[in-house]
Amino acid sequence: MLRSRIAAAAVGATVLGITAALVPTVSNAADPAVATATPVVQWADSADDFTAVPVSESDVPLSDGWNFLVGYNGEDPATTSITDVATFDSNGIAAKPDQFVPLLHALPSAVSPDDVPALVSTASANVGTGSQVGLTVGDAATPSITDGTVFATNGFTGDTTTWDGSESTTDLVTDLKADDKVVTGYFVTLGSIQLQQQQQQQQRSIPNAPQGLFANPTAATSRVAAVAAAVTPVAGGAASIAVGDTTTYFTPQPTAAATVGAASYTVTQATTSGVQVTGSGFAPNEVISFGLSLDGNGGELEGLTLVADADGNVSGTIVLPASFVPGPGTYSLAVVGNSSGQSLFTPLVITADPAPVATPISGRATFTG
Amino acid sequence: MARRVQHRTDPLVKRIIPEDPKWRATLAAVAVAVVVALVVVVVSLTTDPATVPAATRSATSTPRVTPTAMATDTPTPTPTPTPTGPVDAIDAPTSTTVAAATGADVPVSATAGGAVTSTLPNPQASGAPLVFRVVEQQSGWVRVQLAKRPNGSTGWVPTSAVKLTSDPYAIVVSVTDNTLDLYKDGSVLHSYPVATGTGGTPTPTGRFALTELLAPTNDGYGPYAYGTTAFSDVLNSFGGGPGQIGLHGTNDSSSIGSGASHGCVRMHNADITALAKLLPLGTPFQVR
Repeated sequence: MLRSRIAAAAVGATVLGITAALVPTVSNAADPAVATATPVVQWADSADDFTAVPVSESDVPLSDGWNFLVGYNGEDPATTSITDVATFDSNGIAAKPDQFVPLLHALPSAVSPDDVPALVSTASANVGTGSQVGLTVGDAATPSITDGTVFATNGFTGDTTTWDGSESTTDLVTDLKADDKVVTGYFVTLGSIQLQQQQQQQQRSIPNAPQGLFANPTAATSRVAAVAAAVTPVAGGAASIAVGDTTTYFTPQPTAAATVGAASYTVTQATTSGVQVTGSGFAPNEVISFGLSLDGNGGELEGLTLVADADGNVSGTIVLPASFVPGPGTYSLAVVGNSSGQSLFTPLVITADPAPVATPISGRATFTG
Repeated sequence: MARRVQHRTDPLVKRIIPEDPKWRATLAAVAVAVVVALVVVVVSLTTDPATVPAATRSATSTPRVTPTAMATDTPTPTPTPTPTGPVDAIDAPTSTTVAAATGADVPVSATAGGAVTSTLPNPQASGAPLVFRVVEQQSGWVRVQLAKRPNGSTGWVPTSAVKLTSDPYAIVVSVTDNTLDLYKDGSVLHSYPVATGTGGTPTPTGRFALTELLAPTNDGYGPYAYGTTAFSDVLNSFGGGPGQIGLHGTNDSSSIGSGASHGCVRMHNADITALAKLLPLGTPFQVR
């Protein structure tokens, strides 16, 4: 199921309810040596997440989310599902035997040539042998239409990425400017490039066969740099791709879960030594935020974050602001994956601090004796 | 219910209030006048105003005579009366919420969110912090036991005026067995022998709480004395106080194990010392 940052924000607002002014509280922040997840993480792990686009169209208006080109073998785009040409499993998505499946995804807005180096420097993908990645382009005047592709010869390798053979990103920028083009999105191809080339030969008799899209791919097949997820995609498959502010995982979306470390915490424990939180099923390396409420009152614990590891697990201690813990009760702790938008509630029982032993007061007693 | 004070160490009382029931009815009409006369006599014989016995009226306006006594005075032990009616179930929760005042005073209302009916100072007159036993909670409010007559009085205070804590202890006193069971987390931790009230000055039964801990500077109370939310049903004043029931030590250890007090619960000094090292204010204090 597709997720977006917008969805995440909406969920967060619903979950957290009232927002109160807070003083940031210490938490175990992200390891600066590990890049956190992109602002948006989504999973494309079922047929509902893909829109068929006829291969016969030379100019492709990309839908939101993922698109796949269909019709190489005469399929009807109106009735073809991604599951007719590809399969999903724990390693991601892969083309079925004898299938070549280009997957395309639009950027939120077209990227001008000058901004392409920045876009490329952070792009990454985890695809299997035979699969390829690259960018889609369109005319600067009509950026909503994609009419061409440029292949990353050796995959997305940051500043050393080469294009369509041996062009540097600087060369690519020059070419885009010369042709008055902008980058409209990105793609990953599933299946063997040889098969695609065979299909391309067959398509020469098909009217309106795409000339720009995948018309002249390179034959490079090296595996590209991996995204964080420790998944090895099969040949001709893809596990994940990250371009711009969005990472897509083609692996099954996990179910987020989280618990607190103790059956109960005292008010002082929760607000000084903190509450241990353990969770799983979040996006790799995504920032996890928290909210706390009691009887409908509460809000986001601003400044309190943990970071999931490369497997989407999270473990750490959050020290609750005293203003959020007015007394004992069964609170609801909201745990939200900032990038994936995955959220859940877990009960947090907070008990009163132990009452202090009475201090004797020297004085005259007047009890009945 | 009106009860005759039995204080056999005071012959004046015995002469005026015969034990024969038939005389009580006969003398009822003149009782008020007798009480007034008694006050005059006793005051004239007492040098320490704090120990002046008070001749008071009970809540039912029946004349009462209270003894002149310091805590060291021991009423003549009487057979422990068999409580009439059902005995209350044990009130020893596994945990009790305690509310300690955080400011200079605490407003008290009759209902949660209602108008303030009284304001209690913190600390109390004794200097002890103002601490309540919480018996009910609503959002933003707690109902607490109050140290005032009638026994069982409660009021609502805002949680913003108190800090809530948790108390694992509870005290259950048996007037039948003259024992005090100390509970922790709902289980008996230790049982102590105690002295409770005589038949004439019984220890009131009910569910109360500890309100203050004194290290008494006057004799008779041992090293420590807890004040409670309980008040004598027959003594409206005592030793300069309002007839408040205490839990304390004693210099008359021989009285322990019998019904021998004016209503307070006496313990051996070592035992009250042990409690003083454990118990928070607000601890449930049940007499049954």
